[in-house]
Amino acid sequence: MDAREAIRAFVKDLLASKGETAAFEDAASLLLSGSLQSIDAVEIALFLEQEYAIDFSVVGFDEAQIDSVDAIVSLVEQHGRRIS
Amino acid sequence: MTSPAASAPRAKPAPGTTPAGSAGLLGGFRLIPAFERDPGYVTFACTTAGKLYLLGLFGMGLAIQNGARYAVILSAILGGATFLPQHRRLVLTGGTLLWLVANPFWFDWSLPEHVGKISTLAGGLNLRALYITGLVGVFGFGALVIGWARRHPQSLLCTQPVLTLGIFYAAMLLFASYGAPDGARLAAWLFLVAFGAYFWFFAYALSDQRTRDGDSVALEFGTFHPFWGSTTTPLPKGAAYLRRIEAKDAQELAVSQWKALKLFIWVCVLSFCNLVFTKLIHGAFHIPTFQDAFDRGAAHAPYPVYVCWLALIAAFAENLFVTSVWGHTVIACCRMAGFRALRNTYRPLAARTIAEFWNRYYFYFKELLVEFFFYPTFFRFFKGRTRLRLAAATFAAAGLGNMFFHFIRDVGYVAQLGLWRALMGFRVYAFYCLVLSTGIVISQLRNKAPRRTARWFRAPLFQRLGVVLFYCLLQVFDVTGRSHPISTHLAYLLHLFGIGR
Repeated sequence: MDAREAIRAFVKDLLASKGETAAFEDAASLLLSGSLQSIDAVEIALFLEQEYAIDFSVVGFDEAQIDSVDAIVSLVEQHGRRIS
Repeated sequence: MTSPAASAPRAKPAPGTTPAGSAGLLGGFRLIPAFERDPGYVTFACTTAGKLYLLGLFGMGLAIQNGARYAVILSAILGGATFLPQHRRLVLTGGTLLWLVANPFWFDWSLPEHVGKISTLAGGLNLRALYITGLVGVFGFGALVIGWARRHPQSLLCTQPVLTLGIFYAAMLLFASYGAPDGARLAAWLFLVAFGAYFWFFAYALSDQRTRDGDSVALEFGTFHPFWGSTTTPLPKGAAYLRRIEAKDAQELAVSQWKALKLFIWVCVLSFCNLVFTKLIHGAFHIPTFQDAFDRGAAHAPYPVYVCWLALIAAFAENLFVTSVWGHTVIACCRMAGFRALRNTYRPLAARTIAEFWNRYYFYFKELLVEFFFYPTFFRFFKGRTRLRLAAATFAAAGLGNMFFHFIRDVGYVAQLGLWRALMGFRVYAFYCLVLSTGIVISQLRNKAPRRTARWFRAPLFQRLGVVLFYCLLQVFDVTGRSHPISTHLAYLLHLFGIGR
């Protein structure tokens, strides 16, 4: 599974846990649209820390960096490395 | 990669309606139709006539709800934002400046009552003019600071705005309280009160300077207590957020404006409900206000337990009405100006957990605490220990940040009582923050735990009632005034359960 697929699967699960089961675009806003909340942003950040070794205390954290699947993939490409 | 049958995540249902896709008992009935989803309505709102129609309806609503003067000024600014979309942010700055000139005393000016204690000079001076000087001083200071930050985006001022501003504020407070000679003391207090009111606007503006597309000083000032209103909590956040939610074309503006009108209709419905509720509770049923019931308790002449409970529950409901009406009005104006902001209050009674209620009740205050306290703590401390870092970050936000926010908001108490007594009198609210943080932490950690089989007492209705009960009882300590010691509040809480007195 490549990074985009893994990230999409994770986001899909997160949305499903909120009862959001409709299909979504990779460019669709997750946080600004209100579909996900700050606590979900933390879940995404933890996922990125654990799976791609992104250290937000170094790269800085901004919700805009993880507002869509596209944005997360871009963040991983810039700062991440696959751990396992 | 795009999924087949791609679409955006499902939109949140409008208030007062059933969620999309679930007809429910009302068979899909909507109190307020979803105008923004009808292409005909959207197309009409893109025309000049449509824009004028929407602005006219909205202006009439504002006039009925808030008075003609308010409506005229706001409608003029909203007209500018609608017909000059390419200059919307400049219109925002101009409108905010106009609004400030019309309402310069929007924040806590309780200082005049205590100014005699601050300075012997105060008696012979025009205080009104002095306060405006304080305001101008804060904006001058702000222009210098933001201008410097633009040239130094990696400085501590931009990466840790609350820490640096907080240290400066504390130093000024100590100087004003203990170190300053008479004249300087008065000047320091005037600056402190105005600076405190704009503290969080500065924090967002400085934070924005870290980014490559950070706004200029003039555009940042447009977000400082914008014309659509806010408290000392910036609604909806700062310039970076506004750039992301600004309508990019005529269609997005049309959708935003229809949503604004819908939200304003909802404001009118809620206002009417609040009026009826208040008349019934306090008029027909003679249930005292919570403040009245509490004062009677503090004077050792409490109402019967059931009356105290009714007063508590009524106060909770009234708070929900007032917060919703106020927040929806602000966000409706913001949407009318072409910024697609989320609502400040969103179906709070649907919350099944304490954390969820806090998120739904006063969204932008929670966002402020998350941005400036939760995230910095979460990403810096206790890495590798998920539960501990979540708890620490929550205490930093809902506890420490919440206390700090309210202490500087009510800095007039320091002028009135002195720094030490003002700090000691803050214990009631500190206790409130401690209990709130603990409740949110437990709620979040329980949410992360694996789900067990649902039992009757975990059914949604009981979960929701549990959340309401928690926040109802917490109201007993939701006091930033310094009138009663914490023992009085604890005694009142016990009285609610028939203990003591």
